[in-house]
Amino acid sequence: MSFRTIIPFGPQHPVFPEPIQLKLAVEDEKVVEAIPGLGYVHRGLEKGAELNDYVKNIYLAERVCGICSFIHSWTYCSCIETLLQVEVPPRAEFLRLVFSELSRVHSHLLWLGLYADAFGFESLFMQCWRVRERSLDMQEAGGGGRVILSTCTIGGMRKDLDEDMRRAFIKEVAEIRRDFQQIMTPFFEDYSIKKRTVGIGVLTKEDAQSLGAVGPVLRASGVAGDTRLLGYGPYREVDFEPVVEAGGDCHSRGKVRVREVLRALDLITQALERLPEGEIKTNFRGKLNGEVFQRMEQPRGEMLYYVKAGSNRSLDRFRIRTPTFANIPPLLKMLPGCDLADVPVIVLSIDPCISCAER
Amino acid sequence: MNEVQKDQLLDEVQNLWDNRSRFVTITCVDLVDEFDLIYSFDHNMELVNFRVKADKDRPFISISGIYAASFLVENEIQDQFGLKFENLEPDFKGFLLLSQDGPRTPMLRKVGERGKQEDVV
Repeated sequence: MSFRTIIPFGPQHPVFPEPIQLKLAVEDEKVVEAIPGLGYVHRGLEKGAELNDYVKNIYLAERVCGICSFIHSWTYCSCIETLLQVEVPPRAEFLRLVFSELSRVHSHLLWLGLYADAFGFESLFMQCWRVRERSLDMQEAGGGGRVILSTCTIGGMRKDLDEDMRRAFIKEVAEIRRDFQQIMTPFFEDYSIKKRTVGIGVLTKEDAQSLGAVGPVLRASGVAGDTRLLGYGPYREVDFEPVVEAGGDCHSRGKVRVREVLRALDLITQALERLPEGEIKTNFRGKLNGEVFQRMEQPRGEMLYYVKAGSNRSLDRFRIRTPTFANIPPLLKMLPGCDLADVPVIVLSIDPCISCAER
Repeated sequence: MNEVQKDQLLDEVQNLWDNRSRFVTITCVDLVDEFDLIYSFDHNMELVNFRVKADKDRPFISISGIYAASFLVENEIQDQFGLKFENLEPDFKGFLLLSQDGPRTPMLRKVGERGKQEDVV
């Protein structure tokens, strides 16, 4: 007869860059239930945004997450542009695509490194982060910061790319692709990685849909759900197809992200090659009016913003549903039945970003 | 955006479940006298939103019996706005994000907190 024991997993654990607790009910070495404990990094950003001038909220939105900060600012600006009925110049839209896909490249490479580290493959971890460094250098060259760029603003972009920089970016993207292709094979074929990830933490297609999974977690379960298919910004003008895998396990989630790095590099090249000439910012004036929902695809999946205009320059309501928040219920479904030793890899496979989830 | 009556909420959500819509989130807006709850679902990549009015002093209906994933956001609303949900499973009793000694219902609007006439609603 087995006894049930509760093991607190987190809030401090080597696989968690940020704190979350999972209370794992364990019988022998098998997990039978997982209960989440949140609130360690809740910052009240939604409330803070309601007390601010709406222009200042761009910087607040960017700081929801350090990794995908650019897409947060793009989504927020897009909401305000809709409320103000501001038309964004095409060149600014293409530049936004370039920086948002760069965020995806460096976020996925960061995750792939952590993922390799989680099962003890340290050299692969270092190689992933070496390649990631080049994408951060590009962000610094084009935006002025490594992760927080503050280049996206209401009506367009603050910084342009000159012709030399555009050519240098195209060349650099090709080199990142070449470097990454040299190190990505183990994620598909390595015996040890497959041993630790194939058939582990399975989320079926039905569960992924019914539990509201998003991003690579959803696509690794065989569902071609990607908000970029909605064609926001310039995504309707570039060739794009979501990456889908059918396995639903940790291995498939890894493969989706590896292939998405290549897809993102491809999108950056397309956008840079088709970069329209012209202005990068439209001046705006007027009063915020109404309410708006906006969805965009973060590296971790679909993100939803809701903005309701207030009576002056503040907002009545600012709400963010981040992808990690949506992927916690699917995670709680993946854990029961797994071995305790597999918990770190399964938890990591959703790419948890707790600061995002708690805001 | 459509408005759904409170007593029709579960039927509406059941219809969305039956046509395989994905639960996205619930957004609570404090209207001072009552709450606006905006339910968001994704049906074939299209965002389906509808609003339901909720009294501030009465418990509201949880949809976690149909969409299990809603428990997280319903607990968050319970924490931040103090709106209780009936039949919520699991129910963190207002302590999902907030600690025992933290502030209660921090997202509720308080008159004057934004200064001048802004919040005199």
